[in-house]
Amino acid sequence: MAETGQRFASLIDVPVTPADRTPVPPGHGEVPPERDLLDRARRGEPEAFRVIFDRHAPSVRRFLGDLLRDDTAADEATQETFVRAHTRMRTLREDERLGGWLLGIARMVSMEQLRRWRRDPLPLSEEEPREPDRAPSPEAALLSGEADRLLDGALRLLSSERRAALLMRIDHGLPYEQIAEAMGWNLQKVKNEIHRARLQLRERLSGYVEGGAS
Amino acid sequence: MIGHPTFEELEAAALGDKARPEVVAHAGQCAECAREMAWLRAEAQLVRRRPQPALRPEIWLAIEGRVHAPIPISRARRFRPVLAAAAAVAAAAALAVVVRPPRPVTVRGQGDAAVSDDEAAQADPKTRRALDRAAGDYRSALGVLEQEYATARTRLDSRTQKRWDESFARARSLIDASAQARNDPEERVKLLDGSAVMVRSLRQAIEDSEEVAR
Repeated sequence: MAETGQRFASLIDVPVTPADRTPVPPGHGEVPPERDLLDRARRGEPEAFRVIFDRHAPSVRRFLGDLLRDDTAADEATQETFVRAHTRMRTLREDERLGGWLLGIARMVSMEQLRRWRRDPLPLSEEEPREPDRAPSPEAALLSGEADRLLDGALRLLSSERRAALLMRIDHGLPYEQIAEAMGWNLQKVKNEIHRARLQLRERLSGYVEGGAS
Repeated sequence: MIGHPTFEELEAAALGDKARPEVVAHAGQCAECAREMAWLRAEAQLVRRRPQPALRPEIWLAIEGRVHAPIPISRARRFRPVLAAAAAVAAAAALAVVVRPPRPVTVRGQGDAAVSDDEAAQADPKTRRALDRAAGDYRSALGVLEQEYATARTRLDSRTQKRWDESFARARSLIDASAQARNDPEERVKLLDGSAVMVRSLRQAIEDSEEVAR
C-alpha cells in the first residue's frame, strides 16, 4: 500500500507542466516580455491586448470550464473576464503577475454566474458526479481513462471556491502568494483550503486505486 | 538532510518548481516522503493531462466588439425578452439533442459509412422544430440589434464600423450555417451556441454603451 502512490505516479508518463504555459500562436513574431506587453496594452495598443488574449485565454477558458462546467457559460465568462481586464488594466500593480490577476477576475465572473444560476437554476444543467466503475487494477484504470472520470467526479464534489484554489495551484501552477491575491484570502487560508481539497481528492482517488489494487 | 522536508519543499520538488537536490535525495531514501511526492505528482499529472477546451474565435470577436465600440443607444433593453426566449428555446433544443434516446445503429457494407447516426438524428422532428425555432428567434434578435446599429453606425469611426460589421456578419453566418446543417442536430446546437455568444456580446456592447452614454 505504501508503494501505491509511487506506482500511481510512475504510470503516468507525462511532464508536469502547468496548463497556462501556452505557446504564443504563430503570426505574432517574437514573444514580447509580459511587462512590455502590459505597458503597451495600457497605452491602448489593441495588438498588445490581442497578444495577451492569445497567451492567456486558453488557461482562463480552461479554468472557467472547470468552475462553471458549461461550455457556453465558460465562453461567455471568458469574454467577460477579458473585457473587465481591459477596463482595469491600469489597476494591475507592477509586482502582480498577469496570469494570476486574470484568473482572479475569472473567478469573480464565475461566482457571479453561479449566483445567477442559484437564483434561477437551469433544469438538468448539473450532472451528478459519476461514481467510478471498479476496474481490476490501478494500471488498467489509468490506461482506460477511468482515473480521468474519477478525477472529474472528485473535482465536482469540491466547493467552487476550494476547487478554484486547488486548480490555480496544481493545474495553473500559481504560487500560494498569487492565489491569495486572486482569491482575496490570507496565505494561511489558501494553504488550508488547498490542503483540504487535496485530502478530499486523495480520499476519492486512493479508495479507488487501493481498492482496485487489492 | 536532518529530518523530513516540509510539505512545500516536497510539493515544489514534485511539481518541478524549485527542487532542492537534498529534498529529492531524501525522498529517494524515505518511503513516507516518496509516497507523498508520488501522490502530489500523480494528482498534478492527472489534472494537467485533461484535454484543453477549444477556444471559439467568436470569443475574441465579441471582446473586440465590446472593448472598442462604445455606441450610445438608449433602447437596448427591449431586446431582452426576445433574447431570453431565444436562449430558452436553444437550451431546450440542446437538451433534446443531448437526452434523446439512443437509436439502433445501422452497420452497412464497407462502401458506405459504417455507422449511420445522421439518419437517427434526422428522424427526430421535435428536436428539429426546437432548433428551427431557436434559429428563428436568434435571427429576429439579431435583426433588432442590426436596426439599432444601423442608426448608430454613422457616428462610428471606420475601424469600429468594420469590427461591428464583421461581428454582425459572423453572427448571421453562424445562424445561416445552422439552418444548412438541418440533418445534424449536434452541429446545429454548436453553431447556435456560437451565434448566441455573438448575439449576447453585441447586446452587451450596447448595454455597455448605454452605461457610457448616461
